[in-house]
Amino acid sequence: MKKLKKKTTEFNHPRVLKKPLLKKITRNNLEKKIRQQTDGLRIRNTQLRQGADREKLADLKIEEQREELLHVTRVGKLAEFVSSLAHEISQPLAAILSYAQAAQRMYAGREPQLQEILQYIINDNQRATEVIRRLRSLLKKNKPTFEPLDINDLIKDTVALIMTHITVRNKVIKFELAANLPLIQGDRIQLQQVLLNLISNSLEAMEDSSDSRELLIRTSRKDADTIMVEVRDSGCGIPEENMKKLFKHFFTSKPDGLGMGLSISRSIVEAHGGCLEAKNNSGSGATFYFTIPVNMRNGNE
Amino acid sequence: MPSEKKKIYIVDDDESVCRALKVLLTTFEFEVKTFNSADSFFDAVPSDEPGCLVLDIHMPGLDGWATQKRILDSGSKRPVIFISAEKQDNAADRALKVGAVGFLQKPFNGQSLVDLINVASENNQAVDKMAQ
Repeated sequence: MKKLKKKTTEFNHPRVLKKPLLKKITRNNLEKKIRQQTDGLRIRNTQLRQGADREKLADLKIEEQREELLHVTRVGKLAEFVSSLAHEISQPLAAILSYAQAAQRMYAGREPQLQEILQYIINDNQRATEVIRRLRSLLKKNKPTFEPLDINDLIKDTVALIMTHITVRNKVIKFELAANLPLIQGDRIQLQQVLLNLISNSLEAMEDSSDSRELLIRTSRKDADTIMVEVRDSGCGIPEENMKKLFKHFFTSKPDGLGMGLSISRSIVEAHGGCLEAKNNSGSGATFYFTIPVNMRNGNE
Repeated sequence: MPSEKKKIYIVDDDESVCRALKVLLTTFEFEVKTFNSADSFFDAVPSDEPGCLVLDIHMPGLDGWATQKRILDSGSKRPVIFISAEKQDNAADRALKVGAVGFLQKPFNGQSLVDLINVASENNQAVDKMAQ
């Protein structure tokens, strides 16, 4: 069994001091120690706070990236989802069409009102089918199919498509189309997409102001090999901080926008061998301009 | 002698489409039997039983392509018409390559299907005549 050591009391200690002095020194030491420890704690506290702030910042960054990733995934998943949706919807559409046509045959030559109704069913079924078709083609990464095009004719045709849109908004389109431009090599539908995108953006930019009504479309020969198309509005212009991000996927200044229009337009123009840029006008509004190479096979003119 | 109705078999995993096509083809005086899977079709219909097959491409289990292969491998001369709700660019070409009579994208016109069925049976008759 262990022998317990006897505790040495301060009375037996060789360096024991007189009580009052001892008390003072001990108290001073204690106070010093407390101050040191408090200072230490203060420093530690500040460090912890800084650490916590850094962590908060890192968390925010992670959250941002996560949101962006989610968005990209959502859009990727969106394509997948739309594709399977198109498949799913095509089945009942097929069934409805078959039923309507079967009923038409069953009542062939009779019941004209019923025949008419059945035809309406078939027509509307066609409309829905067409929507699916368009949805599907939207998803496809379309390689442009090139043909020789007259850019001025293309612009005029495109504007004719949306003339009602323009007049209803009380805006006016002005054309400055250079004469005798050589033909370009282009995919008609895709270039129309680009034009529609730029025009529609310009119309939106001019929405809020009643005194800026004019949208200018200009074509010119930039050089021997290149044609330039400009879409110029007198709307609200592009804020400087948005300039860099303008053509990026998912960038949009519209609350319900998908942010795909300009990035798609740019890829189309680039696939044609051209460039799509934007600049703010010296006055009001912005100009979106793109170049397209001249159709070399036709030579000059 | 009563004229026998031509037999049409439909294999599609979508019951809605099966039912609608049966109703439609019946108005064209065909005798229609439908199946929701290739397996249930093979179980019920012997390969020497005549009749055109309207075959959906995208199905769980044996899909349209695999089904057509099995039909060819069995030596059966059964004419096959492919249908699909999916949009595949080369499906029509592929269908012809594997010996089908044709390919239709849903939703399709009833008359288009019937035209293909008639082509199929004409071909078959021609083949039968040649064999005689």
